[in-house]
Amino acid sequence: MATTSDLIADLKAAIEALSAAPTRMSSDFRFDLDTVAAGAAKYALRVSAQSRLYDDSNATKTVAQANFIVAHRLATPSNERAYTEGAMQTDLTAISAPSWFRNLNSVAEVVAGPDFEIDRVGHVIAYEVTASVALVP
Amino acid sequence: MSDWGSILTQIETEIRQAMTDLPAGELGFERGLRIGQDLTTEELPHVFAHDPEERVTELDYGQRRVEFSVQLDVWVRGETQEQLASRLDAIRNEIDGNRTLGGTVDKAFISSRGIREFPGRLERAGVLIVQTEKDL
Repeated sequence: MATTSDLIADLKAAIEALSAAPTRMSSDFRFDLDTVAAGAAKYALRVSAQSRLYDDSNATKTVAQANFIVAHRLATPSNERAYTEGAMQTDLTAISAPSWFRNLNSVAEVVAGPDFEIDRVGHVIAYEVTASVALVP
Repeated sequence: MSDWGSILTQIETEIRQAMTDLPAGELGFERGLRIGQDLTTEELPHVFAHDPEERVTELDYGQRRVEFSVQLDVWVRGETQEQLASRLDAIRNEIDGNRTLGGTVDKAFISSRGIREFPGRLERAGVLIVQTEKDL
C-alpha cells in the first residue's frame, strides 16, 4: 500500500527530471526566502490526503491532492517567450499527459486534473500544477 | 557610475533630443538645484534634475522591484505657457518612445507634469516627475 510519503518521493523524482531541472525550495509555502539564478528553476511541493470509499464497495482508497509550483527565472527577462513558448511547453505537455502521474509507482489512478496556473513575478515565470490521485491500495 | 547616475544620463539624452536648443553640458542640464531666476541667458533653457529617490519592494523568489523617481525642472525665460507646455510634451513623447531608457530600466514614464509661474517675472518652470521601474 502506497503512502503519501511514497507519493512525495515519486513526485520529487519526476519533477526534478523535467527539462527545467528544478531544485527544491527551502520552503514549500514561503516563496520570498529563496533566490533563483537566471536560467535556473526551483520548485515547491505540497501533498495532502484523505480516505474515500470506492463507489462499489466498503473498501477505502487514499486520494491525495498533489500541488507543485515550478519557478523558472528567465535567462533573458526581455524575452520571456523564449521560455514560455519553449522549454516550459515541453514540461507542461509532459505533465498534462495522464501517464505522467499514472506512471508514478505510488499512483493507482488520476482522479482529477491536472490543472494549471501560470504567472509571472518579476523575472520569474511560475506554473502551478494541481491534481488529485488515488494511491495504490 | 551609480545606478541613479546611469538613469539620469539616459534621461538627459532623451531631454536633449526633445530640446535641441538646450545649452551643452551643465550649462543646459544640471544634476542638482539652484534658484532658477538666477540662471544666465547662456544657461537657458535649463533643466535641473534633483531630489532623486528610490523605493524598493520585495518580490517572491528573492527578487525586488526598484522604483526610482527624479524631479525635472525645465526653466525658460520669455516663453509663453504654451511654448513651455510644448517642450514638456516633447520630453514626454521622447520618454514614451524609449520606455526602457535604452535598456537601463524595465520601464520609465512621466507620472506628473505641471508649470510653475511667478508674477512679475519672465521665467516659467515646467515640473516633471520621471518614474522608473526595474526588477532585480
